[in-house]
Amino acid sequence: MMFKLKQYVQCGDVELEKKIDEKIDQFIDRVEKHPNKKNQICLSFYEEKKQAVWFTNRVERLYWEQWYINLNVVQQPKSHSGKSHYSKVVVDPGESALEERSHRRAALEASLREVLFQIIKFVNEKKDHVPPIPNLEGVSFLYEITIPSSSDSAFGMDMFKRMLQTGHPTMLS
Amino acid sequence: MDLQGNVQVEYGRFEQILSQFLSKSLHIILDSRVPSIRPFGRSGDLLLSAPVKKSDKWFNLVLGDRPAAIDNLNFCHRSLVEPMIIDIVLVQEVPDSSYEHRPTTTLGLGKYVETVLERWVVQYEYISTVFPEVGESSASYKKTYKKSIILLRSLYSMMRLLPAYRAFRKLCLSTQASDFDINYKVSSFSIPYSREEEEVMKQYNFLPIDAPQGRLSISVTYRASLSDFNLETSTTFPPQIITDYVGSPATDPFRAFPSSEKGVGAISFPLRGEQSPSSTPFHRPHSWTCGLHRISPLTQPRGGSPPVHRTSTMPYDYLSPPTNTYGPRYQNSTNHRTTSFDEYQLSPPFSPSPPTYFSGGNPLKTRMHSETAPMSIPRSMMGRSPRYLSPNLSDPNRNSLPPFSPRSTKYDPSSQDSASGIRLSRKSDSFRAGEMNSGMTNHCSSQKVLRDSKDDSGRFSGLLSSSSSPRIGFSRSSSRLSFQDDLDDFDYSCPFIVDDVDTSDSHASQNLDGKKGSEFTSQTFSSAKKSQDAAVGALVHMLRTAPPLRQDSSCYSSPSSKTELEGEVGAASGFFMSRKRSSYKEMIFFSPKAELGWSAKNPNSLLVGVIFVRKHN
Repeated sequence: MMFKLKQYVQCGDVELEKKIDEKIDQFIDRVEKHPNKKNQICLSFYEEKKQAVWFTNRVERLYWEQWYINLNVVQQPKSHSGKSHYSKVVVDPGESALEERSHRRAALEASLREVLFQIIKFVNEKKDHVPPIPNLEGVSFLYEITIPSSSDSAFGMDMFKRMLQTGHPTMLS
Repeated sequence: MDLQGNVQVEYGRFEQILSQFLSKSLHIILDSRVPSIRPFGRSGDLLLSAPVKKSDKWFNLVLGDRPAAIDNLNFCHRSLVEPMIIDIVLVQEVPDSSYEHRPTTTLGLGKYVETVLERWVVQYEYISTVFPEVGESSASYKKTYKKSIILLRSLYSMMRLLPAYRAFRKLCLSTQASDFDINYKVSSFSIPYSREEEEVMKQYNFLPIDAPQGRLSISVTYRASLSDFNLETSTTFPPQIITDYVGSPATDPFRAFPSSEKGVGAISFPLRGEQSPSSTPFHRPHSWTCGLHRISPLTQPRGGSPPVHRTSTMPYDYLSPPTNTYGPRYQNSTNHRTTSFDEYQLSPPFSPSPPTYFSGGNPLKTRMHSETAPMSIPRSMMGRSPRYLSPNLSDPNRNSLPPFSPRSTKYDPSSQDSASGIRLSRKSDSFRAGEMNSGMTNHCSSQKVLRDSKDDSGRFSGLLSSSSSPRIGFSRSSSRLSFQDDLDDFDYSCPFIVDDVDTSDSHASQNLDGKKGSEFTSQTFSSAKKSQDAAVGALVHMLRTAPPLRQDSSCYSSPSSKTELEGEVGAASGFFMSRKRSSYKEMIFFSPKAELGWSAKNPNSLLVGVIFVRKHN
């Protein structure tokens, strides 16, 4: 889904796209190694704050937005490609595997587009928490892409807790 | 007072932000929908090495050079309070029952139909008349600016999610002409949709941004599906490059025609919206190009499409886009014409090089009675194979010949026999099958003559010439059969032999054997539709009864015979070039009008019909 996501909008920043490609490749490797398992990729936006802790300056990351993308790969009996759990297409039993596959892809594409619509809608609805733009070249906000390992089942909760401890990120107003 | 002054200053800054917001949103929308507005044409690739202008850095969204059209539109936007309504319009050429409309359309189909794909409304809604506090306004416009950064990025993403983006990408990626185009109209008011349109339109509203004394909003109504429009650019066979063929200038310098500056830009498509500076009388509706476009509307370079607004009857405001919007399109089309092989798909093949010829069979007869497949010229004449001048002058070995018709049983992309000569367009069969009018008959007859289905060894190549005056436009092709054998099969001695004028005898005789070729002018056959058989028969008879040719290597006949021929074969008239080669005498005939068409300046193609007669002594 990530690579499909990338097809929709490209920001034009070479470095960013390169980084995204690398992460996607990593994610695909992870998914291929752990089939039939819930996989997740996380995109986080943060601010860097210098904190004086024990007479040392530490740069701390304050995450103000995080996106979790879950991908469940279902192994198809005849094809090796995975598909997300989004697609639920009723396929005639008489259809060939190829047609079935194209149906699934079409359904996946439609649902993916719908998801992107939702993302845009949500991004526009919630803007108050966005910090001042740090004026970076190319990408405006600091971000990181992480692929939580399976052992990090409580990864999301850890992040949430960290956010609570460090307080609210700088508000726009 | 300072307070009042500060408020004014703050509001002035907000106005600047608002103005830039409108420009940026317009730029985003048009850059994602209208290929012609891009400064780099269809590719639209940003020159990453180019320094980013300050004006482009607004809202942290670099889009590249803003086209002048957008700046003009923004300048014309009288009031910042008025909404900016941008219509993205799909322009399609559709058949028109009314005949007189045809010449006005690019592809010659009939008329243009415009459909609004999307309607974007970008506006600043002025809500409050109360001036805010100084501090409040200062923070307010900064907030507005930062939120508009996100809004514009959302807009950028949305542009690529909506259905119209696919159509845009098709236009951008298509290297050839397509039967649709996307244009835009900017206004401060809009004509309401009809009921049918409303039913198919969906709406999406971005969350408005609070702004000083109002708010900024962007909304769109768009067509949910474009499947009704059949927006498919044509898929053509990959252009086949014939690197060697009999009669190419490379092998026969004498025959090399002065290459056009545009290479094989001498295409048979007249761009209606664009005329070459030295357009010739050959740019006529009933030329090859006209008919070709009718059959396949996908071959017209985009540059030919007329500005939408000229044909539009919608009463739009002053904000109708200036015609300079279409400038880049024409430039692109020129570039496309010189480089794209696909444009030759329907056009009779041409090249400024010597013509090709038929060999074998009885072309004149077969064309009457059968829909034959185009023949290919074998590669057996490798050593002497002339080469067609390619569209790209820098590579004279490239061949711009279109592939054979798909109905051709002899067509084989990998065939060794199809190296030389020009193949007829693969659509040529469809000419006969499709809708035809009198203007099309040129094709038919010409195409028919060029075909020889009976003789398996027959080779031919049609030739289109569009470069500078060609005394002779030939190319040669070899044939497995000797020409003598071919003659025996014919009831009349005939056409389609091409030979050099000044090449050595040995060379010529080598090439003469079994070589045939033909060129046909559209003009030659323009009026011959009804009397085709009679005309050819008369020509043959005339040639047979003609006095013996002189023994000189080359000579031109008197104009009298020229007139005679004109009477017989319609517009066919011209010079006779005769020479004698060993036991053969041949007569090369072509229309003087063709000479004009060979002008290098004329990008329009021209068919030169050449009839060769060989006789045994």
